[in-house]
Amino acid sequence: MKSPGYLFRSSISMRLSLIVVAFVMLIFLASFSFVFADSRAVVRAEAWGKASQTLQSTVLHIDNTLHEVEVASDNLIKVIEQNLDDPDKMFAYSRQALESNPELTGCSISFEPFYYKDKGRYFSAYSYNDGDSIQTENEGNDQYQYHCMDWYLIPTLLDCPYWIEPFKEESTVGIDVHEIFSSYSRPIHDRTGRVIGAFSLDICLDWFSKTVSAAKPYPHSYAVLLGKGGTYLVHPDSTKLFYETVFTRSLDEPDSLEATDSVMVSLGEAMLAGESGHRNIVLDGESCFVFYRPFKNTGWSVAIVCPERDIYDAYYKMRDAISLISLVGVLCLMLFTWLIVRRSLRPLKLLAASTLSVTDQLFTVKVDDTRRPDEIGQLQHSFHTMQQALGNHIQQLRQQTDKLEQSNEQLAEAYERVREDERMKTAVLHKMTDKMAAPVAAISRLSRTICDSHQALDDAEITAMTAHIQQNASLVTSYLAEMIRAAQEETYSHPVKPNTEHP
Amino acid sequence: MNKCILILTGFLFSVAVRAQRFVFTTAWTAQAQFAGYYVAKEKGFYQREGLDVIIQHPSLNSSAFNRLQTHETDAAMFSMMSAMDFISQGIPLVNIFQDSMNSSNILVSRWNTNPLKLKGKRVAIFNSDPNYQTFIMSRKEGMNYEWVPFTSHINLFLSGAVDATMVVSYNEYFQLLQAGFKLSEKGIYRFSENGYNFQENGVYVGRQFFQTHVEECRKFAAASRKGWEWAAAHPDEALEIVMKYVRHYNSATNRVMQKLMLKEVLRLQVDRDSGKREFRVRRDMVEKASRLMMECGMLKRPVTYNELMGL
Repeated sequence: MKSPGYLFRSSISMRLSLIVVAFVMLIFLASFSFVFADSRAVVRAEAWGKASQTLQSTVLHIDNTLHEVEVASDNLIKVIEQNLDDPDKMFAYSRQALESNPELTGCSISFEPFYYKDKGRYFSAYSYNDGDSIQTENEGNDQYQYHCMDWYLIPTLLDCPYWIEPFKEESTVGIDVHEIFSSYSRPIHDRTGRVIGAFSLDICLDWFSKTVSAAKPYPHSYAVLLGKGGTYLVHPDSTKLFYETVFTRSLDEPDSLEATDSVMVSLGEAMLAGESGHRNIVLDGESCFVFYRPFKNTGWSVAIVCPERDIYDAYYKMRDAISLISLVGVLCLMLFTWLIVRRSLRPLKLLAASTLSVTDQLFTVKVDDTRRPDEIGQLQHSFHTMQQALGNHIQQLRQQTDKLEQSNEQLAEAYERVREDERMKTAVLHKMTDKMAAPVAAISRLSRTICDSHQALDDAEITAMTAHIQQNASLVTSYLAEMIRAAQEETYSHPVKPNTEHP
Repeated sequence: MNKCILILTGFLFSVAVRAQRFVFTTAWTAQAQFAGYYVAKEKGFYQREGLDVIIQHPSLNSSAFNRLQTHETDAAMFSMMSAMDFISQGIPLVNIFQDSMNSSNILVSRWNTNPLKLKGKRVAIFNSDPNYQTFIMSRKEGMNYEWVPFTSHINLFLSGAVDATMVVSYNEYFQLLQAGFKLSEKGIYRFSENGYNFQENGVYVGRQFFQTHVEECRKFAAASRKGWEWAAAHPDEALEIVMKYVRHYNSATNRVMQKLMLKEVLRLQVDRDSGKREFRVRRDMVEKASRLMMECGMLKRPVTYNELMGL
């Protein structure tokens, strides 16, 4: 299997398509980075606006309703303070408060111990709505010492109206969320301005809970209402209601405080300080934006927790869609580029094959001579022309080669003949020499004998030897003549012609 | 005949081994302050002593003292000074088990100032508690505080309606932290560190009950001590048991608070001198408490250690 690197190096189409895709992706990345960043900022601004608006409308709605309670209190306190002389009227006033304000669940007009001497230590005209009707009673006794309750103590000691933290008037069996109230309490003054009791209006917490919980700008967002001490008054996790504060988790193993807990502490402090704003925190492993805003008079603060995935949901969808389309587009682009380039370069591939044929001296291989006017077409045409020219040239070369080979063959034949002649000559010479050797030797021997022993030899012997020498000399001469004749015959019978043709 | 004897023997034996019912009322609603008793109950320590202990919690309508007076409970939990006060008033009580060795009382300034510099200022005190230590300290130190009794929780303090409040180190102290209130050493006054270290909660029974149920009282004390020692050795498991009671009685608290409370209560059980968990009433503390209470007019007559212990 060919490696991608090899494919990249060996394939222009692959290389070109990858380069094009890389370049396009670069452009995409640059463009999308800008678009995404811009879109994210727009979405975030929109989300913040949406959350802030929801928060603001929730706070406004609750503040308005709470203000109605405050107005009801303002109206009644005057009546109460003007009729302090008649304690029994207090029961009617407390009842009247509930009749006039259906959102109220209770109303108490309570006095200092023995303010009315004949009423004793406890005198608190208390009316409450039991669901069907309004009940009125004197609620103070040794078991219920209202003088020690927050709703009584705080406004009387501070000498000003005060929204009481939600409370429950029972301590044995713990808290039942549905029976928790909050009260708007204010001091009652006598004609001298001395605080003589407290006037308190109760509202059920369910009302808060429903209103605050309805503040839900996103599908998974939720609202949290914190009391003055950071207590969760409204929270989707009911186990935290009234039992935990925003700081509770930070107290568990404070030495190993997690970053999230520190952020929660910081958030809680900001909320309790009455600040408005937003924070980005991680809750239960999920990044969230928390938008918070205080209530006007109660000291409570409401926060809307919006998971980041909700806020950026549309953005994420758009980003994913664009990313997917881009990815598919880039892949298609890569495929098309590859196909187009491959198609465009196909003639080159054929040319390459043809070139290989040329190296094999196959000049007759057909080369597509397209009518393409582009460089490839020109190249094809040029190659075709070159192929033809090369073919012709090679043809000529072949012809000349053939001729040359023919001449060479003739030369070789002549050479062979010459060599044969030489060999024959040599053989004849050898033969003649051999034939002449004996007479020459005899002549030499006889001559030496005559020279060396001519005095010892008689004339006859010398004559005989001389005759013998002459005989042998004649024999040698005849041999030589025969050789000359043969040589002459050879020369005339096989004349060597010089080759004047050139290949 | 033999069969009848066998049945009769079995019946008598079952009656003999049946656990003795013993009702015990704590000092407050279900919380880690009573972990050792819950543990003793849940781990079967009481049962092994032959006791069927029923743990009850008081309410505003029915305090531990009222229950003891009306014999709704056999034993109840009081602070040592409260018990001494009852005894001096002619209500004979006997301590059968002491789980606190130190004072948990703390005075916290709302304004992060030294509580001893808040002369004549408003100080919130528990309405459900006689606040002996607080009154003694105020008198001895010449503070002349204006007392503001409150029912519970810390909202009165946080509202700024009072200048200081009494808290106990295992409960409201942590509630203040939980409310984001910045506590500093400068703004708090620990009674235990300033010469007012008195033992607090112990389990008391009427003297008459004690005289007729000596063995049951001893068994209760032994099993309770075992419960506390087990809780100290296994705080995580003890916390689980506490949370079971917390959930059952729907106490307005959370696990973190109970964990902190258990840790602090266990710390308060360690005697400063011996460094051990002794579970005993200290004679010197009784004598000192009696003297100071007498000086402050809280006791009609001195109460001795022997009286307190039923000796």
